[in-house]
Amino acid sequence: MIARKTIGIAGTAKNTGKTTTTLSLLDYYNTKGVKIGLTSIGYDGETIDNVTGLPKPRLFVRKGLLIVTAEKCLQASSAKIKILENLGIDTPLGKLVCAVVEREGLIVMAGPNQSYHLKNVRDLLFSYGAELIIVDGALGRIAPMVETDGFIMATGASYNLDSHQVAIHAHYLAEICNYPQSAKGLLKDPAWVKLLDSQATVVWNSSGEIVAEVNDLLLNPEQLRPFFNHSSDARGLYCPGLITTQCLKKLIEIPFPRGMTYIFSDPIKLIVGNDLKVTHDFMTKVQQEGSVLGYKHRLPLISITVNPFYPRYRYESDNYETAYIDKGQLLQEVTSLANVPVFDIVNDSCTNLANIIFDTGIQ
Amino acid sequence: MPKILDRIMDAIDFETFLVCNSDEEGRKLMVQLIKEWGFKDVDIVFSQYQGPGSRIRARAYVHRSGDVYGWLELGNEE
Amino acid sequence: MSRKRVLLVPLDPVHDVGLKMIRRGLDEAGHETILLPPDLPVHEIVQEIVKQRSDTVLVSRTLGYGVAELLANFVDLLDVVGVRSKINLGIGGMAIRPELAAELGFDAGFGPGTTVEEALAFVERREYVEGSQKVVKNKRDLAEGYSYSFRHAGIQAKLNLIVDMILNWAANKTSPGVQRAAIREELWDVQRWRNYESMTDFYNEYKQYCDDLGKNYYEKGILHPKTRRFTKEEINSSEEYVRRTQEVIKTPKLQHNRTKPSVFNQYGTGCPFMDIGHIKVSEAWGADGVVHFDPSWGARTEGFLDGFLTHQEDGTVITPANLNRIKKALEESTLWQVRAHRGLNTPETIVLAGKIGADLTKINIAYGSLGAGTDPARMTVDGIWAIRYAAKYNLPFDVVTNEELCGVPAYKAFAGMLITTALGIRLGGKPILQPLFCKSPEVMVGGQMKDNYVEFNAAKIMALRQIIDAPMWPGAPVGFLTQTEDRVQSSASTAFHASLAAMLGVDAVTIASSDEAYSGGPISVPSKIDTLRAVSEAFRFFGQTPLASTPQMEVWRDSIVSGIDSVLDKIVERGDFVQSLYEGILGNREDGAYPGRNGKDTVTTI
Repeated sequence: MIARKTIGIAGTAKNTGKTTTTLSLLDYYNTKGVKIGLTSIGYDGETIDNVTGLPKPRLFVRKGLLIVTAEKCLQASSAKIKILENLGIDTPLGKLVCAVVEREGLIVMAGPNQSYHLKNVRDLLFSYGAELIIVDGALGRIAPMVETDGFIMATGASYNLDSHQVAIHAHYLAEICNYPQSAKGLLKDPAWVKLLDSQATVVWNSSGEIVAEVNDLLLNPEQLRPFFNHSSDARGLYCPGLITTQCLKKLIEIPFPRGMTYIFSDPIKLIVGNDLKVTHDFMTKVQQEGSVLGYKHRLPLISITVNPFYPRYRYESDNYETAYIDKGQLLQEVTSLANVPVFDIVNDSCTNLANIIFDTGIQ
Repeated sequence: MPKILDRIMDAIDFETFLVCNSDEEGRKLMVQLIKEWGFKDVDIVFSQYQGPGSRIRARAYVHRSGDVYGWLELGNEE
Repeated sequence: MSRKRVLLVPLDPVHDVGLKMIRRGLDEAGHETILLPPDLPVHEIVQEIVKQRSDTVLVSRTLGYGVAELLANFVDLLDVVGVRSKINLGIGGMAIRPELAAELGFDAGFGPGTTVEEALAFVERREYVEGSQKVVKNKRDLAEGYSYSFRHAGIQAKLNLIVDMILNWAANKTSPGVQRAAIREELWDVQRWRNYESMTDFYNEYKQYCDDLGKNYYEKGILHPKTRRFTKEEINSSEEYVRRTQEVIKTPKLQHNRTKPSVFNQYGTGCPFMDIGHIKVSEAWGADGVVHFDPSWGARTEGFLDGFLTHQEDGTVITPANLNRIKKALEESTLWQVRAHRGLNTPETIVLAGKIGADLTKINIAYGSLGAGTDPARMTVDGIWAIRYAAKYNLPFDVVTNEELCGVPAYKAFAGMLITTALGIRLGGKPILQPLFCKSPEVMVGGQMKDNYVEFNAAKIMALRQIIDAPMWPGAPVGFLTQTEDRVQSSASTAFHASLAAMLGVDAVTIASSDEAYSGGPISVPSKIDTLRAVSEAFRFFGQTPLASTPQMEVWRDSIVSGIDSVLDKIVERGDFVQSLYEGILGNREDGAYPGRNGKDTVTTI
């Protein structure tokens, strides 16, 4: 049996198949009798897409599902829902409530839309007996996934019409998420773990003494200047916050010695808002120099699902129409490049994906 | 589900421009039109003939005072 | 409330006017605002938010291709940087709806038409309400702030003599109307009635003073032929309709930046349910008050029926049950006027309205006698008691001058109005002057409105102001005889008259529907909305612009004042107010005024 896990379902863009993936997992676990808690960091289950105006898959759910959604979504749901608790968290669609589905039907979901609230929601769903929590994503939003134990990334033609580009992006994501190790194993001395409690970006020497520190958020390359003066005695670096693409480029230029240890808070800090190619290049360079890379909090990318559908924009009528790219080619290219299991969620059975969730190294 | 017409609080007005030869003709045609649509309690509220035709407004009462109003029943539906 | 640090972020290539307006509103409310330059990269915006330690961030961005992803990325950055949980994050722009705001990770979404007040509520972290905030209206006391002191000593002195004359004449007189009012006052308890307790004492006494209609009802249960009782199902449905409507109704303010005039709508469809339907619409489109219209036969019958009755013609029957139902359906802020001004039930109407909780009533002895068909002697005795009860129940009453519509010149109608007003002041009441704004027979013959409708109407207000410091409520409704069956013309005319009233600084105004001139059927609900919308737009257009006085206004003002003075002279000279009414001093046959005959010879000496 699953030991209380939280799985996120993120997407590289809208219409990449997050909801389809969610539906398919809900169905599978329902037949297996696993108690599921469902929430969304976006807005799911609507008939028509908020942006494109195209029809979307509806969220059909069965009896016993635990959900956390905004009050006003309940009115738009056809399933019979019993409210268990009001969380008192405000959203544009009213306060969040924890509820249980009493009679199957369609629901609309809008849950906690920031990491801070997702943490509380997760704990609450566990307290009501959820064994597995599924967090449905929103658009290209990935930040709240930091509160999950691992996530599935839905991608496809909506992200890019060129399946090769989709595959490269998937490859980068998989590498950035899964390649770096857990930070603890990388530290020379177990006592150095306190370095990772630092609120600033720090560089330490061979004795584990901090020799230079700058802001926790690395937004502007100028911030890294002090590290140039201490590059020679540096042995390790830890950044607790976001690091931008410009800063990563600058970081590569610092003449740190070979065999450095680079530790970041989690992969999200390297992904959000960044050019993943630069992040990936940074990782490659680090590897070439015999240095190692780790995360304080690992966040594995469990699997990638692909979807050939995309909304085609029509300039002449200023609206969107349904369109597809080659399904087989998309699946083949992504599978060959991304070093994680890849599924066509519309056609494949969900069993394999579900098994991976069981088997994955999530603790 | 009651008829949509039941939701009309009192009357439904139809306002348009009719090409016609006189005020009288406009009024006659307008009443005829609204009656053809199935309304019984029809009257012309306003008509102004100026040459090109009539700007005209007809009214059909769906609920007159003292009737049983369909819109009051809405609360009892599912 | 603490001062908030608000960062305004235009993500569009240009500054959005909406954001600038919101900024002004926030500045005026004492918040600290910073408006960023348009179109900065999201990284820089995030840096600015961190640097400024903002409490609230308001983003404006028009939705378009790829914009949703841009916004999602912006929110993600805020989340990763750790400030998302510390700020209140809102987005506004075309096509932004709450669902989209939720999807993109914002705390609120503001579409087109968002008010500054709404944005302010969000910044101050007051309850977020989707759509516009419910305007909290308060009931205004129309008579508040007036001293009722006379500015014209000569007229004051004459009015005092006439009031003495009236009170002396009436001292030993009574009527069936006065008797019923006394019985209603002493034996009819509204709480006991509401609890369905037995009221046998009351009914036994009361029916003796009713005519056959009342006697038949109380003794044999026979209704007026045009009335019927409601069924239980109808009553339940109506209660449900009111409950549902009250939950969601919004009551907008029409006056823009002015506090006055309160805007009144009339209702009186004959059916209390339809009335309630009309009232809820009036309230939802901004009316501050509503006026109950009873059927014309109500003025000619001695006594009220009881029960919850619907009636198939214009005017809603006054019964305790009907008034009580209507009262329960009103919004807390809505002023409610029950007219008593004419007819054989005048004092009792006020007792009943007072006990059930009306806010205002309507009394005028001169109009009731000359334009509404009640015998002058009867109207005078009943009028005095009506004023006493209005004072007791604290119901300010307007003194309507509709005899102008018959053809009585304004100065004569005003003389009558001022007599009832002076009587009202003497008896401790709060009269409100009600000159008509109308195209009366007087001006049609005399040509005062050949050029415009403004100057003569303005002169009326100026004349009354020169005489007394008292509240004014032009009516009822404004624009009488200017409206046609064309709803656009009718709404425009009503809006102009209401604006004139606003510019003259009066306290209230009653407006008609755009069906005012249509006589083929009942007034329809959309026609009420027509004029409320038109008045709202006119108030917005003129704002607080004042009206300049013209030489012509002053000429007419002076002629009205001297006309009033001369009428009062004649009454003083005649030495008998009631005889003055019969003899036409306040309006004669030539003016189209006829002393009424209803209730003739019913005044008795005690």
